[in-house]
Amino acid sequence: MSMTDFKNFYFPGKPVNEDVVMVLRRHKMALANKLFIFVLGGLAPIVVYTLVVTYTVLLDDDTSLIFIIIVLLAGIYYLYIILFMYHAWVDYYLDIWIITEERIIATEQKGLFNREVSELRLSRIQDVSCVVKGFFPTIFKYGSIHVQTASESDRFNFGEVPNAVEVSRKILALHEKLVNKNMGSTKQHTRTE
Amino acid sequence: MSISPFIFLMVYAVAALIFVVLASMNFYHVIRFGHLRAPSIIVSLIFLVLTVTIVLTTFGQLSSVIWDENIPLNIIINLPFTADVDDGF
Repeated sequence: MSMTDFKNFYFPGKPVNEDVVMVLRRHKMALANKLFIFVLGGLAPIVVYTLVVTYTVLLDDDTSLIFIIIVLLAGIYYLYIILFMYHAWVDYYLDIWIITEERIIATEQKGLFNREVSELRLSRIQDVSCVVKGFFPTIFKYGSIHVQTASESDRFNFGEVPNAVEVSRKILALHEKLVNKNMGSTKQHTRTE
Repeated sequence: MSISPFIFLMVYAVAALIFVVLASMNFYHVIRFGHLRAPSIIVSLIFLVLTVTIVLTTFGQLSSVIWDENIPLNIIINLPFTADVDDGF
């Protein structure tokens, strides 16, 4: 998360008078962890290839059937490795939490054919909690944020958020600010009546 | 007994076709929901360049293959190192 100025940040359906306070994406380490596994998967065949070329004559003839099969398999294998890496990045890039002065809009890409967009009014928040668990989350300061609403039984979750503690505090502060603002306007409205 | 390497090329083509469909779905999501900002353009370009590189390298390696000419299957069975092992027994 970067606490930069998001006042000019635009998203579809954004009212003119609603300011964006934070835009959150998962921590880059979460993406790096996924990509690292694919990089390892990409390196493994290179090691096997080196061993096979060094210690056998399997791939000496570049017109042999075994050579053709191995080259085609390797080609497909690497195509899919970069496809999965690209998909991991798309998944990371399209998962976004937009926190405005009035609501939280969570957009999550779940696989290729499942995209969830949910919205939560800050005034309906009952409880905000965060969990920083594990070696990398503790070192790189990221964790999960759970937002409990007044009416919904299931919680609003966002995993691997950078500076999770700070963000959860900020959400609570925004909630209190909004509640106080609403109470103030209600009192003023009662007095005028 | 012999086999045409073209069969394996067809299997490769099917796998490549599935790859194209899945890659297109990812592109669609990036264009539709990522709004073609700089990071999405850069990463998508890197992905495209890597894809082209892998395909070109694959077919560069197979440039000497005559695809419609049958290859005997015993070329797998009678590999020198397996023959050495058999001789040992």
